[in-house]
Amino acid sequence: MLDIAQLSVSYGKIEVLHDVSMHIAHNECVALLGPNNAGKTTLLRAISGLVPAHSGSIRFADADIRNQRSDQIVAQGIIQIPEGRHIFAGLSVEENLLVGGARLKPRARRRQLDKLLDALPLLAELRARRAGTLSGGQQQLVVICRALMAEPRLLLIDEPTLGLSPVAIDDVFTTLRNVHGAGTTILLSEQNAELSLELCSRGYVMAGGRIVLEGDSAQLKAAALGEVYLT
Amino acid sequence: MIGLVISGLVQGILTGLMLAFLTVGMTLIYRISRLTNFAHGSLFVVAMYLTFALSRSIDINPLLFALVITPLMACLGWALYWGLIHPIRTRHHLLAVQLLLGLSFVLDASILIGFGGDLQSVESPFNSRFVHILGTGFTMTTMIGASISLVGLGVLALAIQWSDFGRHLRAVANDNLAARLAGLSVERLEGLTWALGVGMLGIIAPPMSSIVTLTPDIGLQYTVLSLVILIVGGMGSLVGTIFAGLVVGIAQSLGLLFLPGSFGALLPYALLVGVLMLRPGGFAALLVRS
Ligand SMILES: Nc1ncnc2c1ncn2[C@@H]1O[C@H](COP(=O)(O)OP(=O)(O)O)[C@@H](O)[C@H]1O
Ligand SMILES: [Mg+2]
Repeated sequence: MLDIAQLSVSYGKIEVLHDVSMHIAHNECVALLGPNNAGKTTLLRAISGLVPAHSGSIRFADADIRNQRSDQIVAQGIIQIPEGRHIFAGLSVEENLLVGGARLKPRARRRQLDKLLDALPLLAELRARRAGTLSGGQQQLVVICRALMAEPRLLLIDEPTLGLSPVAIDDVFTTLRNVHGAGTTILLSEQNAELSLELCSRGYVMAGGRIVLEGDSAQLKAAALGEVYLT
Repeated sequence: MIGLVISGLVQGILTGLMLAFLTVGMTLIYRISRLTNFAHGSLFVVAMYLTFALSRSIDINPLLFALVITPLMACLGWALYWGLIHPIRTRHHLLAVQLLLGLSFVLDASILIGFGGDLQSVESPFNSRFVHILGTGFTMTTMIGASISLVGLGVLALAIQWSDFGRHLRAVANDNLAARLAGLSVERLEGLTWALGVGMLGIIAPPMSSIVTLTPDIGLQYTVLSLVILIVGGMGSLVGTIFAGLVVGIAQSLGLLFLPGSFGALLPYALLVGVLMLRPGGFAALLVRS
Protein backbone atom coordinates (compact mmCIF):
# COMPACT_ATOMS: atom_id res chain seq x y z
CA MET A 1 0.00 0.00 0.00
CA LEU A 2 2.78 2.42 0.97
CA ASP A 3 6.19 2.02 -0.66
CA ILE A 4 9.08 4.24 0.25
CA ALA A 5 12.37 3.80 -1.55
CA GLN A 6 15.73 5.47 -0.93
CA LEU A 7 14.12 8.53 0.55
CA SER A 8 16.34 11.42 1.64
CA VAL A 9 15.06 14.51 3.39
CA SER A 10 16.87 17.67 4.46
CA TYR A 11 16.09 20.65 6.60
CA GLY A 12 17.89 23.43 4.75
CA LYS A 13 21.33 22.09 3.94
CA ILE A 14 21.37 19.41 6.61
CA GLU A 15 20.26 15.99 5.49
CA VAL A 16 18.43 14.21 8.31
CA LEU A 17 16.94 11.17 6.55
CA HIS A 18 19.29 9.02 4.52
CA ASP A 19 18.16 6.36 2.09
CA VAL A 20 15.06 5.28 3.95
CA SER A 21 13.09 2.40 2.44
CA MET A 22 9.92 0.94 3.87
CA HIS A 23 6.93 -1.08 2.81
CA ILE A 24 3.50 -1.28 4.41
CA ALA A 25 0.88 -3.69 3.15
CA HIS A 26 -2.88 -3.19 3.23
CA ASN A 27 -4.36 -3.77 6.73
CA GLU A 28 -0.98 -3.98 8.41
CA CYS A 29 0.00 -2.25 11.62
CA VAL A 30 3.66 -1.32 11.48
CA ALA A 31 5.69 0.13 14.35
CA LEU A 32 8.34 2.77 13.81
CA LEU A 33 10.74 2.66 16.72
CA GLY A 34 13.86 4.51 17.68
CA PRO A 35 15.27 7.03 20.14
CA ASN A 36 14.75 10.78 20.12
CA ASN A 37 16.07 12.52 17.02
CA ALA A 38 16.19 9.26 15.06
CA GLY A 39 14.13 10.85 12.29
CA LYS A 40 10.72 9.28 12.91
CA THR A 41 8.82 12.56 12.88
CA THR A 42 10.69 13.75 9.80
CA LEU A 43 9.75 10.57 7.94
CA LEU A 44 6.06 11.00 8.78
CA ARG A 45 6.21 14.67 7.85
CA ALA A 46 7.72 13.76 4.48
CA ILE A 47 4.97 11.21 3.80
CA SER A 48 2.33 13.85 4.59
CA GLY A 49 3.98 16.40 2.35
CA LEU A 50 4.94 18.79 5.15
CA VAL A 51 8.64 18.73 4.30
CA PRO A 52 9.97 18.27 0.77
CA ALA A 53 11.92 15.12 -0.04
CA HIS A 54 14.76 15.78 -2.44
CA SER A 55 15.37 12.24 -3.61
CA GLY A 56 13.83 8.80 -3.50
CA SER A 57 10.19 7.92 -3.96
CA ILE A 58 7.01 7.64 -1.91
CA ARG A 59 4.29 5.62 -3.59
CA PHE A 60 0.82 5.12 -2.19
CA ALA A 61 -1.61 2.73 -3.85
CA ASP A 62 0.66 2.80 -6.90
CA ALA A 63 0.67 6.56 -7.34
CA ASP A 64 3.72 8.72 -6.71
CA ILE A 65 2.85 11.10 -3.90
CA ARG A 66 6.30 12.51 -3.20
CA ASN A 67 6.09 16.30 -3.00
CA GLN A 68 2.37 16.51 -3.55
CA ARG A 69 0.63 19.15 -1.45
CA SER A 70 -0.46 18.02 1.99
CA ASP A 71 -4.16 18.54 1.19
CA GLN A 72 -3.80 16.33 -1.90
CA ILE A 73 -2.19 13.63 0.19
CA VAL A 74 -4.96 13.84 2.76
CA ALA A 75 -7.48 13.55 -0.07
CA GLN A 76 -6.02 10.15 -0.92
CA GLY A 77 -6.64 8.89 2.58
CA ILE A 78 -3.27 9.32 4.28
CA ILE A 79 -4.11 10.95 7.58
CA GLN A 80 -1.52 11.91 10.15
CA ILE A 81 -1.93 12.41 13.87
CA PRO A 82 1.05 14.65 14.57
CA GLU A 83 3.36 14.61 17.53
CA GLY A 84 2.48 16.89 20.43
CA ARG A 85 -1.30 16.93 20.53
CA HIS A 86 -2.18 19.53 17.94
CA ILE A 87 -5.73 20.10 19.02
CA PHE A 88 -7.83 23.12 17.96
CA ALA A 89 -7.90 24.42 21.51
CA GLY A 90 -10.37 27.22 20.88
CA LEU A 91 -12.88 25.01 19.05
CA SER A 92 -15.37 22.69 20.68
CA VAL A 93 -14.84 18.93 20.59
CA GLU A 94 -17.55 18.61 17.96
CA GLU A 95 -15.99 21.36 15.84
CA ASN A 96 -12.61 19.64 16.09
CA LEU A 97 -14.18 16.49 14.69
CA LEU A 98 -16.03 18.37 11.95
CA VAL A 99 -12.79 19.96 10.77
CA GLY A 100 -11.30 16.47 10.66
CA GLY A 101 -14.02 15.56 8.17
CA ALA A 102 -13.51 18.76 6.16
CA ARG A 103 -13.16 16.88 2.90
CA LEU A 104 -16.44 14.98 3.26
CA LYS A 105 -19.76 16.27 1.95
CA PRO A 106 -21.81 17.88 4.77
CA ARG A 107 -24.23 14.92 5.05
CA ALA A 108 -21.48 12.29 5.04
CA ARG A 109 -19.61 14.38 7.60
CA ARG A 110 -22.59 14.43 9.96
CA ARG A 111 -23.06 10.70 9.53
CA GLN A 112 -19.39 10.01 10.27
CA LEU A 113 -19.60 12.27 13.33
CA ASP A 114 -22.62 10.42 14.70
CA LYS A 115 -20.97 7.07 14.04
CA LEU A 116 -17.80 8.01 15.93
CA LEU A 117 -19.65 9.60 18.84
CA ASP A 118 -21.83 6.49 19.13
CA ALA A 119 -18.70 4.37 19.36
CA LEU A 120 -17.09 6.67 21.93
CA PRO A 121 -19.74 7.76 24.45
CA LEU A 122 -17.04 9.56 26.45
CA LEU A 123 -16.51 12.01 23.60
CA ALA A 124 -20.24 12.32 23.02
CA GLU A 125 -20.52 13.67 26.55
CA LEU A 126 -17.78 16.22 25.91
CA ARG A 127 -18.92 17.32 22.46
CA ALA A 128 -19.82 20.89 23.42
CA ARG A 129 -16.73 21.48 25.58
CA ARG A 130 -13.89 23.72 24.44
CA ALA A 131 -11.18 21.25 23.46
CA GLY A 132 -8.47 23.27 25.22
CA THR A 133 -10.12 22.61 28.58
CA LEU A 134 -9.88 18.80 28.34
CA SER A 135 -7.27 16.62 30.03
CA GLY A 136 -4.28 15.39 28.03
CA GLY A 137 -5.76 11.94 27.60
CA GLN A 138 -9.13 13.29 26.47
CA GLN A 139 -7.41 15.63 24.03
CA GLN A 140 -5.49 12.76 22.51
CA LEU A 141 -8.74 10.83 21.99
CA VAL A 142 -10.26 13.88 20.30
CA VAL A 143 -7.22 14.16 18.04
CA ILE A 144 -7.43 10.46 17.13
CA CYS A 145 -11.13 10.76 16.42
CA ARG A 146 -10.55 13.89 14.37
CA ALA A 147 -8.24 11.82 12.16
CA LEU A 148 -10.83 9.04 11.93
CA MET A 149 -13.40 11.58 10.69
CA ALA A 150 -11.45 11.69 7.43
CA GLU A 151 -12.04 7.94 6.88
CA PRO A 152 -8.30 7.17 6.65
CA ARG A 153 -6.92 4.41 4.51
CA LEU A 154 -3.49 4.82 6.08
CA LEU A 155 -3.14 6.34 9.53
CA LEU A 156 0.24 7.82 10.50
CA ILE A 157 0.52 8.27 14.25
CA ASP A 158 3.41 10.11 15.85
CA GLU A 159 4.13 9.34 19.52
CA PRO A 160 0.51 9.43 20.69
CA THR A 161 1.34 8.52 24.28
CA LEU A 162 3.96 11.20 24.91
CA GLY A 163 3.31 12.80 28.28
CA LEU A 164 0.19 10.79 29.09
CA SER A 165 -0.60 8.97 32.32
CA PRO A 166 -0.51 5.14 32.28
CA VAL A 167 -4.32 5.00 32.32
CA ALA A 168 -4.56 7.41 29.37
CA ILE A 169 -1.90 5.40 27.50
CA ASP A 170 -4.08 2.30 27.93
CA ASP A 171 -7.07 4.21 26.54
CA VAL A 172 -5.10 5.34 23.52
CA PHE A 173 -3.86 1.83 22.74
CA THR A 174 -7.31 0.34 23.21
CA THR A 175 -8.67 2.87 20.73
CA LEU A 176 -5.86 2.16 18.27
CA ARG A 177 -6.47 -1.58 18.58
CA ASN A 178 -10.12 -1.03 17.68
CA VAL A 179 -9.18 1.21 14.77
CA HIS A 180 -6.80 -1.39 13.42
CA GLY A 181 -9.34 -4.13 14.06
CA ALA A 182 -11.83 -2.22 11.93
CA GLY A 183 -9.46 -2.50 8.99
CA THR A 184 -7.36 0.68 8.98
CA THR A 185 -3.71 0.39 8.01
CA ILE A 186 -1.45 2.00 10.62
CA LEU A 187 2.10 3.27 10.84
CA LEU A 188 2.78 3.99 14.51
CA SER A 189 5.84 5.90 15.66
CA GLU A 190 6.53 5.23 19.32
CA GLN A 191 9.34 5.18 21.80
CA ASN A 192 7.43 2.67 23.88
CA ALA A 193 8.57 -0.47 21.99
CA GLU A 194 6.84 -2.97 24.20
CA LEU A 195 3.32 -1.60 23.80
CA SER A 196 3.62 -0.84 20.11
CA LEU A 197 5.07 -4.25 19.23
CA GLU A 198 2.13 -5.82 21.01
CA LEU A 199 -0.27 -3.87 18.78
CA CYS A 200 1.74 -4.13 15.55
CA SER A 201 2.86 -7.26 13.78
CA ARG A 202 5.98 -5.76 12.28
CA GLY A 203 8.31 -2.86 12.79
CA TYR A 204 11.25 -0.76 11.72
CA VAL A 205 13.90 0.68 13.98
CA MET A 206 15.44 4.02 13.07
CA ALA A 207 18.58 5.68 14.38
CA GLY A 208 20.51 8.63 13.05
CA GLY A 209 18.14 9.11 10.14
CA ARG A 210 18.45 5.56 8.81
CA ILE A 211 16.52 2.33 9.15
CA VAL A 212 18.84 0.15 11.18
CA LEU A 213 16.64 -2.86 11.77
CA GLU A 214 13.42 -4.33 10.51
CA GLY A 215 11.48 -7.46 11.28
CA ASP A 216 8.36 -8.92 12.78
CA SER A 217 7.42 -8.07 16.33
CA ALA A 218 8.89 -11.22 17.88
CA GLN A 219 12.25 -10.58 16.23
CA LEU A 220 12.30 -6.94 17.27
CA LYS A 221 11.35 -7.83 20.84
CA ALA A 222 14.18 -10.32 21.01
CA ALA A 223 16.56 -7.77 19.52
CA ALA A 224 15.39 -5.20 22.01
CA LEU A 225 16.77 -7.25 24.87
CA GLY A 226 20.29 -6.83 23.64
CA GLU A 227 20.16 -3.53 21.83
CA VAL A 228 20.43 0.06 22.89
CA TYR A 229 18.09 1.46 20.22
CA LEU A 230 14.92 0.51 21.93
CA THR A 231 15.44 1.99 25.33
CA MET B 1 -24.81 70.06 27.88
CA ILE B 2 -26.42 66.70 28.53
CA GLY B 3 -28.00 66.91 25.11
CA LEU B 4 -24.60 67.50 23.57
CA VAL B 5 -23.16 64.45 25.35
CA ILE B 6 -26.03 62.28 24.19
CA SER B 7 -25.76 63.48 20.64
CA GLY B 8 -21.99 62.90 20.77
CA LEU B 9 -22.55 59.37 22.09
CA VAL B 10 -25.02 58.50 19.33
CA GLN B 11 -22.72 59.99 16.70
CA GLY B 12 -19.86 57.98 18.23
CA ILE B 13 -21.80 54.73 18.13
CA LEU B 14 -22.80 55.25 14.50
CA THR B 15 -19.24 56.10 13.50
CA GLY B 16 -17.90 53.30 15.67
CA LEU B 17 -20.00 50.70 13.89
CA MET B 18 -18.60 51.84 10.57
CA LEU B 19 -15.05 51.88 11.94
CA ALA B 20 -15.50 48.36 13.30
CA PHE B 21 -16.78 47.14 9.95
CA LEU B 22 -13.91 48.91 8.24
CA THR B 23 -11.38 47.21 10.52
CA VAL B 24 -12.82 43.74 10.70
CA GLY B 25 -11.29 42.73 7.36
CA MET B 26 -7.89 43.54 8.81
CA THR B 27 -8.80 41.50 11.88
CA LEU B 28 -9.67 38.41 9.84
CA ILE B 29 -6.49 38.67 7.78
CA TYR B 30 -4.43 39.06 10.91
CA ARG B 31 -6.17 36.13 12.49
CA ILE B 32 -5.53 33.68 9.68
CA SER B 33 -2.10 34.74 8.46
CA ARG B 34 -0.69 36.57 11.51
CA LEU B 35 -0.01 39.48 9.21
CA THR B 36 -0.95 43.11 9.71
CA ASN B 37 -2.24 44.54 6.46
CA PHE B 38 -0.52 47.89 6.42
CA ALA B 39 -2.17 48.69 3.09
CA HIS B 40 -5.66 48.33 4.57
CA GLY B 41 -6.35 52.08 4.82
CA SER B 42 -5.05 52.81 1.33
CA LEU B 43 -7.13 50.00 -0.12
CA PHE B 44 -10.13 51.55 1.60
CA VAL B 45 -9.31 54.92 0.06
CA VAL B 46 -9.02 53.25 -3.35
CA ALA B 47 -12.54 51.90 -2.86
CA MET B 48 -13.77 55.36 -1.89
CA TYR B 49 -12.19 56.96 -4.97
CA LEU B 50 -13.74 54.22 -7.11
CA THR B 51 -17.08 55.35 -5.70
CA PHE B 52 -16.15 58.93 -6.52
CA ALA B 53 -15.14 58.05 -10.10
CA LEU B 54 -18.34 56.08 -10.69
CA SER B 55 -20.51 58.80 -9.18
CA ARG B 56 -19.09 61.35 -11.62
CA SER B 57 -20.02 59.28 -14.65
CA ILE B 58 -23.18 57.46 -13.58
CA ASP B 59 -26.05 59.34 -12.04
CA ILE B 60 -27.56 56.90 -9.58
CA ASN B 61 -27.48 56.71 -5.79
CA PRO B 62 -23.79 56.14 -4.97
CA LEU B 63 -24.65 53.48 -2.39
CA LEU B 64 -25.52 51.20 -5.31
CA PHE B 65 -21.90 51.24 -6.50
CA ALA B 66 -21.13 48.81 -3.69
CA LEU B 67 -22.55 46.11 -5.98
CA VAL B 68 -19.66 46.68 -8.39
CA ILE B 69 -16.90 47.81 -6.06
CA THR B 70 -17.23 44.94 -3.58
CA PRO B 71 -16.46 42.16 -6.08
CA LEU B 72 -13.70 44.31 -7.57
CA MET B 73 -12.08 44.83 -4.18
CA ALA B 74 -12.48 41.12 -3.38
CA CYS B 75 -10.62 40.22 -6.58
CA LEU B 76 -7.96 42.75 -5.66
CA GLY B 77 -7.56 41.18 -2.21
CA TRP B 78 -7.35 37.72 -3.70
CA ALA B 79 -4.75 38.85 -6.25
CA LEU B 80 -2.77 40.62 -3.54
CA TYR B 81 -2.54 37.43 -1.55
CA TRP B 82 -1.42 35.25 -4.44
CA GLY B 83 0.79 37.87 -6.08
CA LEU B 84 2.42 39.50 -3.09
CA ILE B 85 1.91 37.61 0.16
CA HIS B 86 1.93 33.95 -0.85
CA PRO B 87 5.31 34.06 -2.62
CA ILE B 88 7.04 35.35 0.52
CA ARG B 89 5.04 33.48 3.15
CA THR B 90 8.02 31.48 4.41
CA ARG B 91 10.28 34.52 4.66
CA HIS B 92 10.65 36.88 7.61
CA HIS B 93 7.33 38.58 8.32
CA LEU B 94 8.94 42.03 8.25
CA LEU B 95 9.36 41.56 4.52
CA ALA B 96 5.59 41.32 4.14
CA VAL B 97 5.18 44.39 6.34
CA GLN B 98 7.57 46.35 4.10
CA LEU B 99 5.82 45.17 0.95
CA LEU B 100 2.41 46.17 2.28
CA LEU B 101 3.65 49.56 3.45
CA GLY B 102 5.24 50.00 0.03
CA LEU B 103 1.97 49.03 -1.61
CA SER B 104 0.11 51.64 0.43
CA PHE B 105 2.47 54.36 -0.85
CA VAL B 106 2.01 53.13 -4.41
CA LEU B 107 -1.77 53.19 -4.01
CA ASP B 108 -1.74 56.68 -2.46
CA ALA B 109 0.49 57.96 -5.26
CA SER B 110 -1.70 56.36 -7.95
CA ILE B 111 -4.75 58.10 -6.52
CA LEU B 112 -2.86 61.39 -6.49
CA ILE B 113 -1.88 60.89 -10.15
CA GLY B 114 -5.35 59.76 -11.19
CA PHE B 115 -7.47 62.27 -9.28
CA GLY B 116 -5.17 65.10 -8.27
CA GLY B 117 -4.72 66.44 -4.76
CA ASP B 118 -7.97 68.43 -4.50
CA LEU B 119 -10.51 67.78 -1.80
CA GLN B 120 -13.34 65.72 -3.21
CA SER B 121 -16.65 64.51 -1.94
CA VAL B 122 -19.30 62.18 -3.26
CA GLU B 123 -22.73 63.80 -3.59
CA SER B 124 -25.56 61.68 -2.31
CA PRO B 125 -29.27 62.47 -2.17
CA PHE B 126 -29.24 60.80 1.24
CA ASN B 127 -26.95 63.55 2.58
CA SER B 128 -29.85 65.98 2.70
CA ARG B 129 -32.33 63.59 4.33
CA PHE B 130 -32.23 63.37 8.10
CA VAL B 131 -33.23 60.87 10.74
CA HIS B 132 -33.71 62.13 14.30
CA ILE B 133 -32.40 60.11 17.24
CA LEU B 134 -32.87 61.50 20.76
CA GLY B 135 -33.25 64.98 19.39
CA THR B 136 -30.31 65.07 17.06
CA GLY B 137 -30.50 64.77 13.29
CA PHE B 138 -28.20 62.37 11.46
CA THR B 139 -27.96 62.10 7.70
CA MET B 140 -29.57 59.17 5.99
CA THR B 141 -26.12 58.28 4.64
CA THR B 142 -24.74 57.92 8.16
CA MET B 143 -27.75 55.88 9.23
CA ILE B 144 -27.44 53.56 6.26
CA GLY B 145 -23.68 53.23 6.65
CA ALA B 146 -24.08 52.31 10.31
CA SER B 147 -26.96 49.90 9.58
CA ILE B 148 -25.02 48.14 6.84
CA SER B 149 -22.11 47.83 9.25
CA LEU B 150 -24.27 46.45 12.03
CA VAL B 151 -25.93 43.88 9.78
CA GLY B 152 -22.62 43.04 8.10
CA LEU B 153 -20.87 42.46 11.41
CA GLY B 154 -23.76 40.28 12.58
CA VAL B 155 -23.73 38.18 9.43
CA LEU B 156 -19.97 37.85 9.65
CA ALA B 157 -20.09 36.75 13.29
CA LEU B 158 -22.68 34.10 12.44
CA ALA B 159 -20.66 32.90 9.46
CA ILE B 160 -17.46 32.65 11.50
CA GLN B 161 -19.26 30.62 14.14
CA TRP B 162 -21.44 28.36 12.00
CA SER B 163 -20.27 28.05 8.40
CA ASP B 164 -17.65 25.59 7.16
CA PHE B 165 -15.50 28.50 6.01
CA GLY B 166 -15.70 30.12 9.45
CA ARG B 167 -14.88 26.90 11.25
CA HIS B 168 -11.95 26.26 8.94
CA LEU B 169 -10.70 29.80 9.38
CA ARG B 170 -10.76 29.38 13.16
CA ALA B 171 -9.04 26.01 12.84
CA VAL B 172 -6.19 27.49 10.81
CA ALA B 173 -5.86 30.36 13.29
CA ASN B 174 -5.78 27.85 16.16
CA ASP B 175 -3.27 25.39 14.75
CA ASN B 176 -1.90 25.72 11.27
CA LEU B 177 -0.22 22.30 11.19
CA ALA B 178 -3.26 20.42 12.42
CA ALA B 179 -5.39 22.26 9.88
CA ARG B 180 -3.10 21.16 7.06
CA LEU B 181 -3.17 17.59 8.31
CA ALA B 182 -6.96 17.70 8.35
CA GLY B 183 -6.71 18.28 4.62
CA LEU B 184 -7.53 21.98 4.61
CA SER B 185 -5.82 23.97 1.92
CA VAL B 186 -4.48 26.70 4.16
CA GLU B 187 -3.33 28.77 1.17
CA ARG B 188 -6.78 28.70 -0.40
CA LEU B 189 -8.37 29.75 2.90
CA GLU B 190 -5.87 32.58 3.30
CA GLY B 191 -6.60 33.74 -0.24
CA LEU B 192 -10.34 33.69 0.45
CA THR B 193 -9.82 35.61 3.68
CA TRP B 194 -7.87 38.29 1.84
CA ALA B 195 -10.67 38.46 -0.71
CA LEU B 196 -13.24 38.77 2.07
CA GLY B 197 -11.25 41.23 4.16
CA VAL B 198 -10.48 43.57 1.27
CA GLY B 199 -13.82 42.97 -0.44
CA MET B 200 -15.70 44.21 2.64
CA LEU B 201 -14.10 47.61 2.09
CA GLY B 202 -16.18 47.86 -1.06
CA ILE B 203 -19.38 47.62 1.00
CA ILE B 204 -18.53 50.43 3.40
CA ALA B 205 -16.66 52.70 0.97
CA PRO B 206 -19.76 54.13 -0.80
CA PRO B 207 -21.49 55.43 2.36
CA MET B 208 -18.20 56.57 3.90
CA SER B 209 -17.20 58.47 0.76
CA SER B 210 -20.34 60.59 1.12
CA ILE B 211 -19.54 61.26 4.77
CA VAL B 212 -15.84 62.15 4.76
CA THR B 213 -13.79 64.44 2.55
CA LEU B 214 -11.50 62.60 0.17
CA THR B 215 -7.87 63.48 -0.34
CA PRO B 216 -5.26 61.04 -1.67
CA ASP B 217 -3.21 61.08 1.52
CA ILE B 218 -5.76 59.79 4.03
CA GLY B 219 -4.91 56.12 3.48
CA LEU B 220 -2.29 55.98 6.19
CA GLN B 221 -4.67 57.65 8.66
CA TYR B 222 -7.21 54.89 8.10
CA THR B 223 -4.52 52.24 8.40
CA VAL B 224 -3.43 53.67 11.74
CA LEU B 225 -6.99 54.04 12.96
CA SER B 226 -7.75 50.42 12.02
CA LEU B 227 -4.53 49.35 13.65
CA VAL B 228 -5.56 51.07 16.89
CA ILE B 229 -8.91 49.27 16.77
CA LEU B 230 -7.24 45.95 15.93
CA ILE B 231 -4.84 46.25 18.85
CA VAL B 232 -7.36 47.61 21.36
CA GLY B 233 -9.69 44.82 20.31
CA GLY B 234 -7.07 42.21 21.15
CA MET B 235 -5.45 41.31 17.79
CA GLY B 236 -7.74 38.99 15.92
CA SER B 237 -10.88 38.89 18.03
CA LEU B 238 -14.05 39.68 16.11
CA VAL B 239 -16.07 40.71 19.16
CA GLY B 240 -13.07 42.64 20.48
CA THR B 241 -12.85 44.55 17.20
CA ILE B 242 -16.52 45.52 17.39
CA PHE B 243 -16.13 46.78 20.96
CA ALA B 244 -12.94 48.62 20.11
CA GLY B 245 -14.57 50.21 17.06
CA LEU B 246 -17.39 51.52 19.20
CA VAL B 247 -15.06 52.81 21.90
CA VAL B 248 -12.80 54.54 19.37
CA GLY B 249 -15.82 56.01 17.58
CA ILE B 250 -17.23 57.39 20.83
CA ALA B 251 -13.83 58.67 21.99
CA GLN B 252 -13.38 60.45 18.68
CA SER B 253 -16.76 62.10 18.63
CA LEU B 254 -16.73 63.18 22.29
CA GLY B 255 -13.13 64.31 21.89
CA LEU B 256 -14.04 66.51 18.94
CA LEU B 257 -16.91 67.99 20.92
CA PHE B 258 -15.16 68.68 24.21
CA LEU B 259 -11.42 68.93 23.59
CA PRO B 260 -9.84 71.93 21.93
CA GLY B 261 -8.81 71.62 18.28
CA SER B 262 -6.84 68.58 17.21
CA PHE B 263 -6.65 67.08 20.71
CA GLY B 264 -9.93 65.34 20.01
CA ALA B 265 -8.49 63.54 17.03
CA LEU B 266 -5.64 62.33 19.22
CA LEU B 267 -7.95 60.70 21.72
CA PRO B 268 -8.05 57.27 20.00
CA TYR B 269 -4.27 57.05 20.26
CA ALA B 270 -4.29 58.05 23.90
CA LEU B 271 -6.86 55.29 24.31
CA LEU B 272 -4.49 52.83 22.64
CA VAL B 273 -1.70 53.67 25.05
CA GLY B 274 -4.05 53.51 28.02
CA VAL B 275 -5.54 50.16 27.07
CA LEU B 276 -2.17 48.62 26.35
CA MET B 277 -0.86 49.74 29.72
CA LEU B 278 -3.83 48.36 31.64
CA ARG B 279 -4.73 45.33 29.50
CA PRO B 280 -1.97 44.26 27.11
CA GLY B 281 -4.35 41.73 25.56
CA GLY B 282 -6.88 44.40 24.61
CA PHE B 283 -10.61 43.88 25.00
CA ALA B 284 -10.37 40.23 23.93
CA ALA B 285 -8.42 39.51 27.12
CA LEU B 286 -11.24 41.08 29.13
CA LEU B 287 -13.81 38.95 27.35
CA VAL B 288 -11.92 35.73 27.94
CA ARG B 289 -11.42 36.51 31.60
CA SER B 290 -15.08 37.14 32.31
N1 LIG C 1 12.52 21.79 11.79
C1 LIG C 1 13.75 21.25 11.86
N2 LIG C 1 14.83 21.94 11.37
C2 LIG C 1 16.07 21.42 11.44
N3 LIG C 1 16.34 20.21 11.95
C3 LIG C 1 15.34 19.47 12.44
C4 LIG C 1 13.98 19.96 12.42
N4 LIG C 1 13.19 19.02 12.97
C5 LIG C 1 14.00 18.00 13.31
N5 LIG C 1 15.29 18.26 13.00
C6 LIG C 1 16.43 17.36 13.18
O1 LIG C 1 16.17 16.20 12.43
C7 LIG C 1 16.58 15.05 13.15
C8 LIG C 1 15.42 14.08 13.24
O2 LIG C 1 14.43 14.64 14.11
P1 LIG C 1 12.98 14.01 14.28
O3 LIG C 1 12.51 13.62 12.94
O4 LIG C 1 12.18 14.97 15.06
O5 LIG C 1 13.31 12.71 15.13
P2 LIG C 1 12.33 11.86 16.09
O6 LIG C 1 10.93 12.12 15.73
O7 LIG C 1 12.75 10.44 15.84
O8 LIG C 1 12.65 12.28 17.49
C9 LIG C 1 17.10 15.52 14.47
O9 LIG C 1 18.51 15.57 14.43
C10 LIG C 1 16.56 16.92 14.62
O10 LIG C 1 17.42 17.73 15.34
MG1 LIG D 1 9.43 12.76 16.91
